[in-house]
Amino acid sequence: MDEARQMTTILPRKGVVIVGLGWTGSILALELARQGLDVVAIERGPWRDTATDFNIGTAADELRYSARQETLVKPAQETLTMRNTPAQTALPIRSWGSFLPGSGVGGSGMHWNGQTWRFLPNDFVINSHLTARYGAAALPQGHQIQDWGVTYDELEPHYDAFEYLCGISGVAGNLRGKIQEEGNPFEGARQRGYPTPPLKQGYAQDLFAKAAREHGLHPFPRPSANLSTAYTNTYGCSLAPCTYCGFCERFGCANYAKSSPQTCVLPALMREKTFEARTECEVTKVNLSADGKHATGVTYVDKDGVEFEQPGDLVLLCAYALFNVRLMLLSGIGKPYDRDRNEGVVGRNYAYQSSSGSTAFFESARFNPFAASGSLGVTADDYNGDNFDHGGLGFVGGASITSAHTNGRPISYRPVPPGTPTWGAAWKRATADTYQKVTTVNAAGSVMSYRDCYLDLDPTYKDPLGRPLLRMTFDFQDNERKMARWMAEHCVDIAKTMGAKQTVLNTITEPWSVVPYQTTHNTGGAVMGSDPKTSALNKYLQSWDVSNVFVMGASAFPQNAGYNPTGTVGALTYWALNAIKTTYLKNPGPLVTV
Amino acid sequence: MSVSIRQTVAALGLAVVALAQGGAANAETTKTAPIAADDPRMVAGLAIYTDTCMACHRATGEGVPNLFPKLAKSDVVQQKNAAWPIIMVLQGGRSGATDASPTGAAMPSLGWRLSDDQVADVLTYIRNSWGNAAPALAARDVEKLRQ
Ligand SMILES: Cc1cc2nc3c(=O)[nH]c(=O)nc-3n(C[C@H](O)[C@H](O)[C@H](O)COP(=O)(O)OP(=O)(O)OC[C@H]3O[C@@H](n4cnc5c(N)ncnc54)[C@H](O)[C@@H]3O)c2cc1C
Ligand code: HEC
Repeated sequence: MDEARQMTTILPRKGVVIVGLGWTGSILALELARQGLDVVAIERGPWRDTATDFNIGTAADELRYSARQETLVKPAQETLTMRNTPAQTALPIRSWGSFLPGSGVGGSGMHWNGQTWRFLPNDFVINSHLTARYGAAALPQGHQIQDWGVTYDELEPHYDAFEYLCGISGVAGNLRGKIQEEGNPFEGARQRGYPTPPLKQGYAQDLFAKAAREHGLHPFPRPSANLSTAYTNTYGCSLAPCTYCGFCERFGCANYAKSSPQTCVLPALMREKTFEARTECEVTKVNLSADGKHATGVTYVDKDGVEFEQPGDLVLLCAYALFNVRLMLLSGIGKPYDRDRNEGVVGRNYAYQSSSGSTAFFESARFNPFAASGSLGVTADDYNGDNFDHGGLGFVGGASITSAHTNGRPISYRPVPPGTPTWGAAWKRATADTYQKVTTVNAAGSVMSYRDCYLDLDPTYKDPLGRPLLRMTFDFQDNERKMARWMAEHCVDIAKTMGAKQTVLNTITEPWSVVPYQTTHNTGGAVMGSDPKTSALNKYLQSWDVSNVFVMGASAFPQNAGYNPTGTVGALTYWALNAIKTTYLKNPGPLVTV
Repeated sequence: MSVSIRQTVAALGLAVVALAQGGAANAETTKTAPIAADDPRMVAGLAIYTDTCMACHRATGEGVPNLFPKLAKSDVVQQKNAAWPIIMVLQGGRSGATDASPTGAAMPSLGWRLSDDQVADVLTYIRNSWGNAAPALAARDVEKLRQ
């Protein structure tokens, strides 16, 4: 240890040290460099930008980027162990599957799909709201559902900032309290419309919209970070219209049409004289003062294994939800969650996203699934959050119900009807026959937080540097299973109204598995709130325990809502940034005292 | 990056540097009728354009503001000496970035992907579409500029 210490190079002090240069890290880096601060971002993966890395002739290489996952984090770099229940022994994930975080500049924001949502106003006060409407007894057994400590109204200007950073394509449903015909009538009031109009939808979405209306629902185009028109954002960065090529999720966009750190932030950030990016450097620890109350900087190793210490005044964890939590646990920031004693906060309230719905086979349709885009789709929110009466249903929470084609790629997009052999001539015939005639109606659902779903350090397995892996204890609980099934039944009904000759109901029947891809919507583990006993961060995403550490990302969600997370991640980033700029920098210290 | 291309052009002894800098005033264009759309070179060129260029320069050749230059009614595209467009397709280029417009979009290098015939055909196509009219290019025009 002492020897290693001696070998660590101590670098000149920086005003701000950012761990990870993905969505949240890049926004904070730019904004704080513009405050005149010396900012360094330390990023585990390589540099990537559109001009150098996403040549239009190679960017859509499904084998390279999707099957072989070139830009994603590799298990040899970092993995976690998982189990479904606290009674089991966790084992390491040896091949990333259920979720696929990125590694490299842009983070997961480089290869995301771009579905960009605001959560519902009730989502932020969910415990109070559900208790008032249904009584505390209606909440699921073992739950730890809690209010966020921040409200939709407080976040609204910051949702707006993120949407105008990205140039999101969509149509407002609630403009300053006035419900708009074409949009989502359930959304919270927004101060202005989306920056760009919605994408053009396909045939399946037209059928869905019509069927959903017949069912009394209120369909609207899903808000999209694959842009419908050219757009120049608040930082002067320009984006092009989407070509509907369907290579979004797992890919970098070759023609500047998907909002990402690459298209929206980095061009401006790289011009900032007080900003420096250090790539292929992995932060191993946030260093604390002897009393544990103050971060002195971070330690990182470069790609040759050489260790450096980077002192800094302010440390911003922007490493993606799961990796933020691991770094906090490894560094001793906040009290680790202890499930048995039900104490501690770091690792508490890990949640995910539930997926269910219907696969719908048609007699003679031509859906052209290849003419797609990561966020193409029409959604109905009538069954999301608490937009509907849950009385007597036996579950809380909800889902956004969507008809979408995000891609029709040759290797992986091979839906076939049930009963088809999984290989051979019959399978080939069925994939060819089915390709144009199949679509889905899907429900992306909320996942509540529970005492038994959490993150901690694994007692057995270690990474190449000898540090314990993060251990995930998670399964979908009865509440989510009931909800997912109820949603799937509704999806089947809608698919039938759309004219499907055969429908399949997909819901959660097995324990959660790490193998099939589900969503990279990992939430919680370092949640925000108003009580330090049940939250790791205050309402400004500042650590309760170490006030010069702020933790960005979906790790702050106390439970997950029925939407993709990044709209809310972006809003929280601008919200925290505002507190840092207007209050913290003038007077560093805790922004909330209890 | 576009600087290095301009240097390459200069090294080849082709006086197109002024054009590259947008000095359209000096462009020597030819006022011929456009080559017919059903000419085999135009048909092949349209197919290549659709696959490889249209995502950025758009079906109409109008490009995208601040990102991708307009090819329609472009003097640069129609100039008699097509060295600059040829080198653009072979090697790519990167537009300048400024504080106000920092993106600095890139034209990817496509020389590795397109044969001399294909480069000639796609350029013949853009030189004779959307109101443009200029002589066809041949594979040997491209070959000369490949290193
Ligand atoms: C396949 C896929 C599809 C998605 N689709 C959607 C969608 O449609 N809608 C939506 O809302 N969300 C979507 N997401 C989620 C979205 O990408 C994330 O919510 C978002 O990128 C989170 O931003 P972040 O800054 O927290 O993390 P990231 O953008 O992932 O950035 C984190 C960065 O930190 C780096 N890092 C990690 N650990 C270290 C370390 N120890 N030292 C140094 N650097 C480190 C990583 O390499 C990475 O670059 C998707 C994600 C994936 C993977
Ligand atoms: C990823 C987007 C993209 C694609 C695909 C693309 N271009 Fe470009 N193109 C650009 C950009 C950006 C520039 C400006 C480069 C510069 O200023 O150096 C450009 C410049 C050009 C120019 C020079 C125009 C001028 O006014 O100087 C020509 C000609 C051209 N492209 C033709 C093509 C052809 C032909 C194809 C297909 C074979 C193609 N481009 C594909 C982005 C693209």
